[in-house]
Amino acid sequence: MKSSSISGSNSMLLTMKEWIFTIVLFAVISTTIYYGWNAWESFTPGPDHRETCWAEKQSDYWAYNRWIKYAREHYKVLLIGDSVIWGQEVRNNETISHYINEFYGQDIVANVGNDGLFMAGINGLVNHYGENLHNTNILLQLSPLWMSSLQRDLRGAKKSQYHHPRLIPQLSTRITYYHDLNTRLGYIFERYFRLFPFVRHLMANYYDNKSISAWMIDNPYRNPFTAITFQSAPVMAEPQGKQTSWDAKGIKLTDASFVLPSESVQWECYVDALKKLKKMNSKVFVLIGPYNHYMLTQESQLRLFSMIKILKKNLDVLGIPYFDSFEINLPSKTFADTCHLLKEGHIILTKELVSDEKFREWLKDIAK
Amino acid sequence: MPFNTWIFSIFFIVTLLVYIALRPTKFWLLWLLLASYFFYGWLNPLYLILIGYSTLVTFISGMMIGNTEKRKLWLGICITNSLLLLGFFKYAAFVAENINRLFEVLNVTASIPKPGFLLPIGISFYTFISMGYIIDVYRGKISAERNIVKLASFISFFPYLLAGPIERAQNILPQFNTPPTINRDNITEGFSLFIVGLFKKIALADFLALYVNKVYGDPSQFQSPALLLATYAFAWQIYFDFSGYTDMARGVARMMGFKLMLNFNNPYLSTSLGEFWGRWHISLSTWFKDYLYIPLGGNRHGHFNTYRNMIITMLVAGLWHGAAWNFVIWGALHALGRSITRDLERTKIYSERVPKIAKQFLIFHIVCLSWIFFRAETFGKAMTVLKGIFSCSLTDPKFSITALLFMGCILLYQFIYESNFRRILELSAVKVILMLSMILYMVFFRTSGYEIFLYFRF
Repeated sequence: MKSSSISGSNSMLLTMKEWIFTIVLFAVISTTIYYGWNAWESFTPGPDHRETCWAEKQSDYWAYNRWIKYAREHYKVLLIGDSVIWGQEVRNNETISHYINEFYGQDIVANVGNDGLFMAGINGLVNHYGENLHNTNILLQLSPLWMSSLQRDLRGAKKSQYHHPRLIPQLSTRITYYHDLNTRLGYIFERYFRLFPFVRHLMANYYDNKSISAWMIDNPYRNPFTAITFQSAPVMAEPQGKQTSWDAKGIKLTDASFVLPSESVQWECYVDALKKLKKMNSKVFVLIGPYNHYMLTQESQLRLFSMIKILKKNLDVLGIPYFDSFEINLPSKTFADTCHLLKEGHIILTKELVSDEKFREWLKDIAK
Repeated sequence: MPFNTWIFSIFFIVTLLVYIALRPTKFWLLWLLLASYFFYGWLNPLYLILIGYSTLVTFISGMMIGNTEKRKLWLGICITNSLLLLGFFKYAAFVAENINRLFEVLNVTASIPKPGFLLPIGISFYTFISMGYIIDVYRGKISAERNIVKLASFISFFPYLLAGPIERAQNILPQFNTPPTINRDNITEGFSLFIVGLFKKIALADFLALYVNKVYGDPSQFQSPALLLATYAFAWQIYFDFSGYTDMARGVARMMGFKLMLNFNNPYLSTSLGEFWGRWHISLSTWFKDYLYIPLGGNRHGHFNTYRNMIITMLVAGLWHGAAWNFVIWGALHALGRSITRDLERTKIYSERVPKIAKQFLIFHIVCLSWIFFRAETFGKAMTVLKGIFSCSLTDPKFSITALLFMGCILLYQFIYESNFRRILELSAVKVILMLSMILYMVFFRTSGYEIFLYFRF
């Protein structure tokens, strides 16, 4: 026992030895919980599984990563992208991945879509949560939506909220952040101290998306430990959209500026992710689109197509094979809005994709 | 740059490493000053002009008091300057508001515009530090500091710049003479203090704040049990918040080899209001005692003058906390309580027959009563809380059992700490288990929001 030189109000002063003990015990307990949770929490994804990724759950990267790990072990291809890939307007058995699997007669492709997963988010996923993305085959969406304006390109003049703030580069001078520096430094810390994403999983899965403290205030007489049921969220089978086409909804033509790829933050991040995946020995095939060009004014359409042309050239330079969904001219009525497809759209897109020579070539060895 | 932020962590690591590297050179103190100014300027660089100006006036006045015969004049200049700064930035809006109200009552159509600037954080603290220094120089307790870097470092030292403790020159300036020793004990003790302070802030104060804010936000929606529990919760919230900040401040300073004064010492175990002020915000209460209460005459000139001095001191202390009548009422309640209990404490029956625990219970409740006026946003809301508490209607307060357990456990811990069983708390195993529990709680249960330290407002 040590007599303290600065005793006073409740001072609990630990010696070096006591601190070492504390840190070791903390490391043992937290590591056990972190890794043990995989075994303790039931997770049995069925066919056409798609991870619940709406509202706060979209940043539950612990659960998302667990699904990627599972998918990597059980499927040959990971289809990664935003809510278009996830299938916002359709049931879980009407998604692109479902129709590819149906075509090949086996479960080859896993739906690893996540709502709002834009290109900079994909980069963050690969760079910071990408431990399960090496030595695998990735069908990666490239949605022009995220380059359709300065705001979508994270460079808007006004601060506005966007998805996945944790995945984007946190110290870029080009991005218009809506979180303060302190919050962003916390996001950087989370990438290395994985207990925090895990705690966010607990919050999302068991505590109504609240911190456990806040939950205890709302549930004053409940023991917080009894909320833990060790059951992961059930698959969201139902569509999240209204399942009507964009013109039936009365959406008017819009004028989108589209950014130059050479200046785009999203494109820079996307290219970086492609290079990183290559380094990680993963085979990537890019799916360009879909995107509802019918919703655009004529000038916007021209801007869009000239941008797509540049993007394709860049992909050629990088040696990444791709499928351009604009070439198949998806019918206007198959779009629900700017980019989400209705069921028929998924069927047409998949049919064209699986008959594409480059895609067949890419999948040839994999599907065996 | 509050202590419970990532920015501060990075700032402190960089500051500490450079400070350690510069300790063998003569630049270590200059580095501390630059770091402190960076820390303060991070909030708003314009604040630096204010603290720089205040320091310069204090430095010149100190030198003049030491070197000329017009000592009183220079003391007056320095004190007036500090009070004007404080008055202008902290009380101008309050004064304007009250004059306008008076105009309204008198049916005068004129009105004084309210100043639009924000209160510079920490101004109440560093002006008091400066005034304490200059009074001590005048009284001859210390000699005037001839090194402006040292004086500026003392006034602006970042661990206590924003929310105290209100340090004294006698304690800090000698520590700035030579670079202090940094050893293993400094680091481990400082880190322990910091973690305990962090726990008090983010796990306890911010947790209780969730309930307190809900109830005090609209007290008319709640009844007796909820209002009473929210008041108890606030008593603990403000204690955890402020003493947590002080613990972190002391921990940060300790890691750099400096010793700051104790600012809180289990205040809710006090058996008298006098004792409470000897345990709560000690640096402020001793400041008022040394620089206001005693110069007014203290308790030397009979009953009436003692009470008068006590009341003046408590009213000023109330006003120090904020430019609002609520704080004045809070100070007045303490003055009233102190006046009544002071006589009571002198009776034989009370001092010898009333059990200690009953005295503690009474004092805690007097303090809680005063907290109602401190916390409520308006006088009207404070009265709503008071009426609600005494309405005695029994409805479900929906107060978290965990929060109740926390408050009970902390009280129990403090009782044990001040009893003969204190050695139990000093056992290595107990310390390790408690510290481990605190860290695990912070990681798994932490509130996701972020509450600013309450005392930053003052």
